[in-house]
Amino acid sequence: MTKVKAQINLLRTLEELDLILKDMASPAYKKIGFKSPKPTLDFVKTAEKERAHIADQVEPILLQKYERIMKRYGGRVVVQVINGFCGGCFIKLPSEYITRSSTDITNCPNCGRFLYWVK
Amino acid sequence: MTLSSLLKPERINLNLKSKKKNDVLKELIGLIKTGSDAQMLLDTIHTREELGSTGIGKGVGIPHCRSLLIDKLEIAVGRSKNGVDFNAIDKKPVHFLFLIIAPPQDPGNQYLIILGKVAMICQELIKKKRYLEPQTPEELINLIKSLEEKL
Repeated sequence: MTKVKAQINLLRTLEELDLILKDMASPAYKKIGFKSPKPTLDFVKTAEKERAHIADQVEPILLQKYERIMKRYGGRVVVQVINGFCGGCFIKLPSEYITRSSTDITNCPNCGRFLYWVK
Repeated sequence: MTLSSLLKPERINLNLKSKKKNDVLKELIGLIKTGSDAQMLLDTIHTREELGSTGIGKGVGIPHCRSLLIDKLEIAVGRSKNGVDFNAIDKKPVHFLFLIIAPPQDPGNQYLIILGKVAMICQELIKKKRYLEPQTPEELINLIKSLEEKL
């Protein structure tokens, strides 16, 4: 796996964990009562620990950018490019971004979200 | 928004073949997405399952996640007569599964409301193993509709 792909995958996992943590914190989710199989294992703490573990592996500058975008939009930080459009703000991306994507971590020039392509 | 209005016959499989957790999740996700999208959804579901099984006990599992690959709330339902080893909290096999996938942000947080409704409906379906009654997806939707009206 290339370094770019590995970092994008980490950022995607980070976003998934952030969304899970956000849901877990809501009263509606707590009311449902999902439980951990081990009584000693706290659900939220496990998620926070895993989040910290993933965040440690992300390059600091990317992590900083991730946190900023998450704070601004509340989700949809790492988005897929669909038919040349940003999956976050749906702007048509310049074609050079597709070439750059294999060697660099690319962000949408309009909304700043992290972009990934599925080949 | 009612739960029954979100259920579609083509997303209900009353005869799941898989016996293992990973395989049954694949089978359910396949009712919603295919190809590389399905694999990404499976990875996201695994991220959630690794924190603790969504097998809530008494034969019911409610795997769920949020994903960028989804534009609106999507639900798939599956039933396994033989049961699936789902690592449920009571360690018993899971026979009835609701897969719920929502976009990262949804208006009015319908995802959590529906998730709560599913948990309540499941309590009713567990009683006297009512989830074994429906013979067709349409019958299951009607059963859920009637239980929902009583909530």
